[in-house]
Amino acid sequence: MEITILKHGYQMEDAFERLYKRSKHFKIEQMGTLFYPYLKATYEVIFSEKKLKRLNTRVICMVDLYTGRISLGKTQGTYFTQNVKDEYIIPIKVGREEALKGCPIEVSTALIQQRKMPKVPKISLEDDVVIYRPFYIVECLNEDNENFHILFDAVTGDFSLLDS
Amino acid sequence: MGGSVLEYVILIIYMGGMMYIGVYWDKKSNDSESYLIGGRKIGAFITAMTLQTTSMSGYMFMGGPAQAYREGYFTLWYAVGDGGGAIFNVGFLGKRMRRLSYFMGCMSPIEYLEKRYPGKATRLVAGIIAIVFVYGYVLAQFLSAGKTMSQLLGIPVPIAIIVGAGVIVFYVWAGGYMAVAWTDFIQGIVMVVSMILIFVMSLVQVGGLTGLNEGLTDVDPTLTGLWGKDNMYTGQWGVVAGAVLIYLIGYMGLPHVVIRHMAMDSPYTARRTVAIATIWNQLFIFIPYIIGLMGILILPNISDPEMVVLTLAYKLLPRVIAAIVLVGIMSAVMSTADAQLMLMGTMLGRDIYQRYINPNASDAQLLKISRGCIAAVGIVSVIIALIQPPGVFGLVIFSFSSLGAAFLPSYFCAVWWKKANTTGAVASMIGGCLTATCWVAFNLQNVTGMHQFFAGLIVSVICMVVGSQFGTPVSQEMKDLIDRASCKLKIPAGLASANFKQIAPETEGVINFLKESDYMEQAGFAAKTF
Repeated sequence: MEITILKHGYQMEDAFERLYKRSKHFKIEQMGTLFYPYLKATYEVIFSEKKLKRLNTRVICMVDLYTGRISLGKTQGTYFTQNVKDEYIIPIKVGREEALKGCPIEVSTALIQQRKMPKVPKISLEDDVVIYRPFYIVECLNEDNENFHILFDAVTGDFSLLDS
Repeated sequence: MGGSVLEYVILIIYMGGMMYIGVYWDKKSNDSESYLIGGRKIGAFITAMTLQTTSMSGYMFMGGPAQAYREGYFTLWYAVGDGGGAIFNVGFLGKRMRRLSYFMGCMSPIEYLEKRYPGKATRLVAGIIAIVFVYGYVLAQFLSAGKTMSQLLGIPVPIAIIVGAGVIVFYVWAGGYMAVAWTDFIQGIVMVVSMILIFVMSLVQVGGLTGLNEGLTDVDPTLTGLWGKDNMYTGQWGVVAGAVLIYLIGYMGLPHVVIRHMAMDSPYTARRTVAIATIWNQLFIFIPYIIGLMGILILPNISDPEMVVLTLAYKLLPRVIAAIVLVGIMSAVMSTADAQLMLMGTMLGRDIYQRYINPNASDAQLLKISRGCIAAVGIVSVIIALIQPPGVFGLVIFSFSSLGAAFLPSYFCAVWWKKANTTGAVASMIGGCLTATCWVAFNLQNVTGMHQFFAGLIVSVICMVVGSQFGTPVSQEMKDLIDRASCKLKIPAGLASANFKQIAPETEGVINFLKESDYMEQAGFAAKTF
């Protein structure tokens, strides 16, 4: 299946290095790639046409198409397309309409709270596209030879333990 | 006392400086790829510092010292509990709550309760209790801001309260460019340094701690006793237990405090937070109370004991420094008040109005409701403050007791008792809150010799234990999550401490996917299933 993927910031060897930099007291046994689906919706936010024009902005709403959770960002990111085996892609569980439903209120609430601006902004959808974020699943052994797993974000280098 | 051009100039410069810092940090954060909400990485130092300063600013320099001024050494029971509060709060709840909230993907303390104890009633009851009693804190901040402004600008207290509330509204509006966490942090530091300055100068004035003890004994020997002025609490161990426990374990029940656990960058941050917060508490918690005690000797005839710290600032410090101290305290109070107002507005709009009154509310409607509520809270607070202003100490203790009694068993059992279910949690919240409130309303502390927090807590625990025997049992899925939250798997510290919260939702999604799919086998992992 051909998918649009957010550009990797970390290749597998970079991920190895980053994890081993954190600790030497474990061993990486295996690593696999997994692609996580999002709907990237770009919104134009207009607080004012006149005096407070500088408050106007563009916000990216990223909707997790597996759980439906929404997060907000500001950068567009770089993408490329690639053919990927279906079993390495997390299936989409949330439809486009459902995904977009909660975005405007998240955007306005977040901006109002962040800017403490007592005015309801006009929010309009500019475009939306399904993209995939690459993650690595890392299988490791601790010093007691117990198995544990790490989820490594191949874009930002953030990681999280899957077993604890 | 204040009221000259100097105070006005300092007020303007200080506020301008805060705005500048806010703009600076806000721009910095815009340059990065940081999210607007959620996913914040808050380390041990900031977690420990904000744990105390953001919720207690009005209490620290007004309520606590005033009570010490009135009751003498007895008030130190509160400080003793507070000194160990961080160990109990972060130690018992920190790591497990951080993990469980992470697994459940929660962003707010009420959402956390709702997911752990599923049911509409959980959010409704928890939301109402949180809104009502967080309001107590807001009112305390308004009063503190008004009184400080009165001292600073030399205007009557009622006018100062109106001006103070007006300034807070302005601050909320103009502070739109501010990175709130940073300005709160800096203002917290200013507040603490100010208190230490007043403490040292007062100590010199009274001849050190020995001089303080001797002086108090000369004024009234019962002031240095453990049972309060005129031995008013003699033998009332229920009151003493409540005074110690309220801050020792009460923090575990405050939604706006336990949210700090959820914001920690890693469960392992909890360890460092305990250490930092405990050291911090030993250094700082006793100071406001001791200043209140020293006030008895330095300002024996003060008409309003809540003004003791402010009056001491002008009496003991150079005028410029005193004005800076007062402006620092006032702005810290205001920033706390605006954050709490925002929290209330959000809870009223999203947790109550959208959830129960108008689920299809548009964003414009929701924001109108939130803003309307904030305005109403401001107006009602000013009216209460003008007609019959309650004492800051009493207000904070009342709000703290009710919130603590209502939520402590629910937050504690969420991670420590797998059988705790929705029925138990809802019963516990209602029972604890009602008991603590009635205890104050009917003055039952004097009748029973038992502190309102202690009484509320006992009822709340009983309700939790009994209630959990009824209703829907906890799901196996939730029990598994609680087990995972108490995980004993040996993870290298370097990896565990870098558990990034930004990808918490994805982590949960991936865990579910791995459980449902045969990815592990397909990708050739040793563990064929997850």
